[in-house]
Amino acid sequence: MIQKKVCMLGAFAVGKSSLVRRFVDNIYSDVYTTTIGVRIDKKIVNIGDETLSLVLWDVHGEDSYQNVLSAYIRGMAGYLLVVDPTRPHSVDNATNLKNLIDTEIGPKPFVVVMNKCDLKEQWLITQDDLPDWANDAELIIEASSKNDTDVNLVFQTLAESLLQNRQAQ
Amino acid sequence: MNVTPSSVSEYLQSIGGITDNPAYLHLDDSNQIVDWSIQLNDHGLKLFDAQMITLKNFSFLEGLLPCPNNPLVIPRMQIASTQYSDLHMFSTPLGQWIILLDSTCASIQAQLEQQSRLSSELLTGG
Ligand SMILES: Nc1nc2c(ncn2[C@@H]2O[C@H](COP(=O)(O)OP(=O)(O)OP(=O)(O)O)[C@@H](O)[C@H]2O)c(=O)[nH]1
Ligand SMILES: [Mg+2]
Repeated sequence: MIQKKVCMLGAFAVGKSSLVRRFVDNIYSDVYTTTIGVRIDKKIVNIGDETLSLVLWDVHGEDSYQNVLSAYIRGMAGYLLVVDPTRPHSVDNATNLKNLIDTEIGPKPFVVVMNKCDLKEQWLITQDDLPDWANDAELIIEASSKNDTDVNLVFQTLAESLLQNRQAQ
Repeated sequence: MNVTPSSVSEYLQSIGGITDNPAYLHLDDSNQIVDWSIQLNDHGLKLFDAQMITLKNFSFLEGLLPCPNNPLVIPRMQIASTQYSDLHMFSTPLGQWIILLDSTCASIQAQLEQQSRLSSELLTGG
C-alpha cells in the first residue's frame, strides 16, 4: 500500500488537532488542549480503487518552537494549511509557514482550510482576502470539525492530489 | 536480550544520555531491518512477533529515511500513546540508526505552561 506523510500546519488554536480527531475518530470537543511537539496518527483512505495510508503529523502551532519545524516537515508529501477566519492574524502565520516550506523542502501539494465555518457570522475575512499564495492550493475549503462540515473532503482532496502527483512522476 | 550496538551507545554517550537498554532500530542502507530492541514498545509501539517486524511497523518513519549522516533530532513525538519521545536519527558506515528517548516529563511540563499561556492569549484576542 502507498503511504504518505501529511502535516497539519497553522497558528495555534486554529483547529488542526480537531480536524484530525474528527477525521480519524469522528469525535469533537470544545475544550482546547494545545499540542506540544507533534502527534502522529494514521488513517487509510480509498480513492477510486486505490488505497492510500496517510501518516498525519499534527504539529503544534505555537510560534516559539518554530525552529523545530524544519525537523517536523522533513519528508512530508503534502500538507493542510489551516486558518481561523475569526482570527485574521492566523493568515500571517500561514504565510510564514508556506514560505518556510517552499524554502526548506520546496513546494508541496497543499489544501487551505478556512476552519470553524460554523462561526461564519464571526469571520473577519473571506477567501478573497487570502494572499496570492492561496492560488497555488489544490483547493480552499471552508470546513468545521464541530459540525463535521467537509472535514473528509479536506483530507480526501489532499490524498487525491498526492496520488496524482505519484502517477505524474 | 541483545547487547546495545556500539554505534548506539557511543552516540548516547556523546549526548550525555542514558545508555542502559535504549530503544533503537538498526536499518541497512536499503532500509531493511537489521536489528531492533524491545524497548521500542516503551514508546507506544506494539512489536510482538519478532519474526514479523517490518518497516510497516514504523509508519512514523514515512518520509524520514534515509537517515542523515549528521544526527537529526525530531523532538516531542507522540507516536502511538500519551508518551512523548525524542527521535534521534543518523547513519554510520554500519547502517542507519534510529533511537527513541523518552521526553514525557519535560513535555508534560511544557504543555501545561503553553496551555495556560495560549488559553489566555486566546481570551485576549490572540
Ligand atoms: N466553533 C468551532 N471551534 C472549533 C472548531 N475546531 C476547533 N475548534 C476549537 O478551537 C480550539 C482549538 O482547537 P485545536 O484543534 O486544539 O487547535 P490546534 O490548531 O490543534 O491548536 P494547537 O495544538 O495549540 O496548535 C478548541 O477549543 C476547539 O474546540 C470548529 O470547527 N468550530
Ligand atoms: Mg493541536
